[in-house]
Amino acid sequence: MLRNRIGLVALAALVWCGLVPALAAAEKVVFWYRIGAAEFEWIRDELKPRFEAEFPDHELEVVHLSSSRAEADQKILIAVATNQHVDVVRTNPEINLTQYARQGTIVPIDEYAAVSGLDTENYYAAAIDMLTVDGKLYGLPYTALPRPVLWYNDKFFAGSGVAAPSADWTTDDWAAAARNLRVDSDGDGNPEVFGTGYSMSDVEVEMILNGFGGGFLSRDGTESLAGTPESLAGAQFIYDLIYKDNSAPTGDQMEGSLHEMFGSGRVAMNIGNYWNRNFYKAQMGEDDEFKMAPLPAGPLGRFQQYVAGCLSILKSTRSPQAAFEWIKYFTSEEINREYVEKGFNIGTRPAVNQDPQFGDDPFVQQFLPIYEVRPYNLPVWPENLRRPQYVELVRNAIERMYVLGEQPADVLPDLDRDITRLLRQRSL
Amino acid sequence: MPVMLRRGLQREDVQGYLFISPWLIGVVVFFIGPMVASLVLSLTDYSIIAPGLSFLGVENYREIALDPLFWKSLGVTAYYLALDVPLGQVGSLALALLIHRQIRFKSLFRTILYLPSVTPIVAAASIWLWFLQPRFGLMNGALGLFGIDGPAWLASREWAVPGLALVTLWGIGGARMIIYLAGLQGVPEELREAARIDGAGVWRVFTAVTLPHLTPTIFFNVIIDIIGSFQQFSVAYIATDGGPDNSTLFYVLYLYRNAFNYFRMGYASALAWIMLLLLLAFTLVQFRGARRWVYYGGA
Repeated sequence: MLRNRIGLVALAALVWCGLVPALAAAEKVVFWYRIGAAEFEWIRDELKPRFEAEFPDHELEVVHLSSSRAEADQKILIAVATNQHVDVVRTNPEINLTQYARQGTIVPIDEYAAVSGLDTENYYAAAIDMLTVDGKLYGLPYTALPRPVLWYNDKFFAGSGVAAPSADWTTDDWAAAARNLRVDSDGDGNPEVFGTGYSMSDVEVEMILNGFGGGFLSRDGTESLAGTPESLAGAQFIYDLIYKDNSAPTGDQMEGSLHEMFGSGRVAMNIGNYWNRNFYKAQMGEDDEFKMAPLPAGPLGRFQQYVAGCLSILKSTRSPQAAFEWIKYFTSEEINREYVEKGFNIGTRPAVNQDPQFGDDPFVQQFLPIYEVRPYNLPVWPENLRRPQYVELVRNAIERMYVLGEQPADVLPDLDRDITRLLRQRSL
Repeated sequence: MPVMLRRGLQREDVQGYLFISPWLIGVVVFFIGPMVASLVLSLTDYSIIAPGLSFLGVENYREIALDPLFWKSLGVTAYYLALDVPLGQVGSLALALLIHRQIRFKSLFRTILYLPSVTPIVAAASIWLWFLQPRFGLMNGALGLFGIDGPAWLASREWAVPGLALVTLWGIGGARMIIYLAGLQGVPEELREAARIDGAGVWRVFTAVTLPHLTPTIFFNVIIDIIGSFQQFSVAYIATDGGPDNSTLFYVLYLYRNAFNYFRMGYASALAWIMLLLLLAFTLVQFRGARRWVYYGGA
């Protein structure tokens, strides 16, 4: 009898010990983030404690994924396949959001947004549109902006007689300025200052090709445009900057990346993005030396791609409600203002970007007119395209033309053939 | 009929099997199981991320035969192998011969020579990226002292593979050298002594006595080295990621891309099986040829 009683008491104690912590434990939100170290540290050291103080029943675990997009994608997809506990991930509508949504890798958030009374009108409408797939909202944006821009170092223009880049610049103006800014004082063919850099990014090169009426992939994503005369003209324009005028460095003349060469004053202009500002600032030190202008327009106009960084709830979430709370908190006006203030990127709400608080910030002020330059090029990724393989093909072609110096007329037919072959293959 | 079957399973047989069962279970679960699974997957379009899979028969293998990047990666790997294996073998044997001599600070030299092989490959590749930098790198700086205009190394299609071979050859003082050292210690000193008394010079003693006795060691090292070179991945992944223009797209790097970048697990499994068959064929050919040149003492 006594034995039974002791047993019962012990059992009750065990149940109590197990249940109480389980009931009291905060709901854990696992957040996987792919971005630079400074941004990650800000989230881990400043936002996490504030979020946990505001939501005492939530515990945030922040995990820094690789800065490589391909590696981050790899980890996210494997997490879903193995049902690993991950609640929130960063997604990009121009890259993976549509694919993730249609695969069921991320879940719609409309239900949580409606319950919490979230007003999506406070965000840029275009950004919200980009996150809406088949009528459902798949995340909230914390940054949304057009890319790329033309960065320039003001000290090379001052006193040179060359007008600084402006919103009405064309590719001809860009090439002429690059030739005039090139400095090769000893005439050894290895300039001390190059007039311009260029881009090795598949997206950014395509924006330039779009300005010439070409591209790599048709707008509906069903055929390759790489072999068209318009694409050749656009690719040849960049090639000539490098190998005809030598106003941009050849592969052999590269010293580090083009961003490093621009930051160290070896290149007067460079194709880049808003988010390069902190890197340049760290290299140059003086804010007023480098500025930005819209990407110069090609013969057929100017094209810029609208991109966004956003947070979505992963299928393998254990707590979608808590995950949504974190997304809502991170994309809130207050946090978004802080995000812009730290110079990480441009905000995602007009109320934030146009805040008088940023009246003195030369970068925000320079970027807002660029924000208004249209049209934006919203990418359409066909479902049958093996995207990572496509990107690999395009990057390889860009490397052949601009680093190895092969004529675009020799490279683009190969690329055209390879993309066409890829489009005919089975989808995954 | 085996004795054990004739007399039935005894208590000590069961105990024996129980003792080796952790190993047996490990082999089945982590080695044979995945191998069989990969063989099955190589006949499907399995992708990890898409639900379900379809049986494709030999479609993946047919696609591989027509895939230009498969042939490219095979060529790159063969080129690397042709550079790395002979140079690595000759280099590590030469180092082993030097270390084998009775010299002062022998242990210190041995440690110094072994150090590069224990340096993490990520660190080694990052340092070599700077060594081989075309304009400011130490390598071209050194070549410049002799009036040689050095190549662009990892940024050049022609020189990228030799550049990567240099990175891996940096570690020739590693396991290969130690194995050669062990082999050298097994060469009978009395035979060398006898050859010297008969008037043989250093080179003659090496070619007529030392080298024949080392052939089993050379054979072992070559086999292991060919397999290792065929599996080369890390250096190219870190230093060049297969570029420029796929000139360093090693076979395993291409396999990895298909599996974990393109999520084509079926296709990658087929690539893995082709690699296994190629290595098996290569190794069998070497074993056949070994009868002609490998000397196993009095056998």
